[in-house]
Amino acid sequence: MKDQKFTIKENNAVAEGIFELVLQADSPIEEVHCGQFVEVSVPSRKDLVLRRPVGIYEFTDNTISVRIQIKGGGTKALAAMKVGEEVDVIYPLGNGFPIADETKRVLIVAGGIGTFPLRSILLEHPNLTYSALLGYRNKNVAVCIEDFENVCERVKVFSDDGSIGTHGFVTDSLLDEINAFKPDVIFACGPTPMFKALQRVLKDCEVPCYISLEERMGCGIGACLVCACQVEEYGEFHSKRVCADGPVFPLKKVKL
Amino acid sequence: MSVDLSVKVAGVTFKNPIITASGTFGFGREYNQFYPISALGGISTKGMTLERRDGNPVPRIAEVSSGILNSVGLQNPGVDVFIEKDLPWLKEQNTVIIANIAGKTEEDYCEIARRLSDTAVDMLELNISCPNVKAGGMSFGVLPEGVAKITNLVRKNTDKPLIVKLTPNVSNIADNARAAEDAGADAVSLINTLSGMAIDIRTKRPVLANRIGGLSGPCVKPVALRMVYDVYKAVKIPIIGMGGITCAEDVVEFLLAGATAVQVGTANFTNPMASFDIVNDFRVYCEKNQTNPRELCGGLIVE
Repeated sequence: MKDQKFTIKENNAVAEGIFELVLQADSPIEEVHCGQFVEVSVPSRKDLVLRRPVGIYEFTDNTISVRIQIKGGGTKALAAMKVGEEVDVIYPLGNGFPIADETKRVLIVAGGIGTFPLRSILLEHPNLTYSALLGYRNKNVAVCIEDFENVCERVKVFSDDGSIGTHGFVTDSLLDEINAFKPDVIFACGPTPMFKALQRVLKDCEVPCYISLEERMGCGIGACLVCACQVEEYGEFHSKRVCADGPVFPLKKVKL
Repeated sequence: MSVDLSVKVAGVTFKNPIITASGTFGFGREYNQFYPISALGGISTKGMTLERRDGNPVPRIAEVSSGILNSVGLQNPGVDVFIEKDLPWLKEQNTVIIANIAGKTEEDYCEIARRLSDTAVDMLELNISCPNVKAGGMSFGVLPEGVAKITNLVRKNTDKPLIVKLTPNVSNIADNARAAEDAGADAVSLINTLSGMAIDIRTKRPVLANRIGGLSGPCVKPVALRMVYDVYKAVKIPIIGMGGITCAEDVVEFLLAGATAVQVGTANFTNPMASFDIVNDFRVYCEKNQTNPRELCGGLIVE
């Protein structure tokens, strides 16, 4: 874990209200794993004392790419940054998605911008067999479909309004997909209602499922305890830190 | 020749006046991954209660202009777990250990003080900004009488150097500082967070699940400085000043106002190296200006 300066190598528009920053270090970076995240400073806004936590979308020897949805002043300022400008990045943070050596078949369930951290799994483990269920609000924010189609054996797209793919939710055909594809593990990332639906639909399913949570953070490194979530351990719920104990937790153990 | 940055508070020597503030630094392990915490003058631990506390519902943080609001709710593993699991490691880090303690009742405070008295912690810091269950929710530290009572009780239960951490949410903080001094406090630390709120206009609801939280960060520095200045005029015991410190120059301001040492809190979130950088930058400041923290303490010129 370290705090390091990165230079903006690229600032690309991705979709409506979503942009990508390719951050470059001037030497090889720390080892990064799929599902981990970074804390980015907002240098143009000295009045913002907190860094912005963002999932890692892509990484190489000396770059980290993040895709960010503009939410407030901080993300808006990051969207306006120019190539050549610098940001401070604390990384790599979080536990990442657990891929056991025996894992061969992976089912990915993504909601909206949840596709970004999930995509990093394909990058780090390109030789596994994948199926992906991708759900979006509408076609204007249907991001990363190509990333998944390039690697996955099967990709099914859903949209809330029917403007792209199947009109409906990723959970509509989840059990059918599990029966057909027979995954060893399921990884999911998306909005809380999607996680709640997954807990309902997968209640009696034996396939382990891991979700990546999000919570307002302070230090981002596990010291301040603001990003708490309740996770079941030894029969009772314990307070865990999304930034340090997570962000990835077993679906069935999380109190949503 | 290198400048001597040491300061003494209640008989305890700090290698430099920079201490990390309770609640912002855990028990030191996380930040030790960025720099050796032995570089710090001291660390004030996360506030500990008798029993494990799981804290408030989330969201527990809201960012505001030049600051943050927090409502963590004293989540901590309980004092016994600290003594068994965290203190042994902390002891090896060669920095002053200030155990910050909190309680639901007066008995809690006394019991925690007793349990820590035989341990290797160097000092106790009394957090009296938490609601007193028996007195209908009002914080122990609001009225001078309350400050005096709790300080008196804890004083009887420990020989460890005792710092009373004062809340700014009061009519006259100098009165509270005097009450702590008269009741046997060896030092006071201020300010704890200011009571504040943030509202999300999209949802028309408070941002924090707890509705109200504690404000900290650069935006509170002027309030904190003024309060250190007032308290310095009121008491003889040393003051540990805190509130919005982000750089060495801020440290100098607090020392001039009357602080003997300082605590750095929110700045650690902005930059994990903050406290380490401040120690080094403060050293450079002292060398350049041929001064030291002992000389700067109370050096404010008022005509």
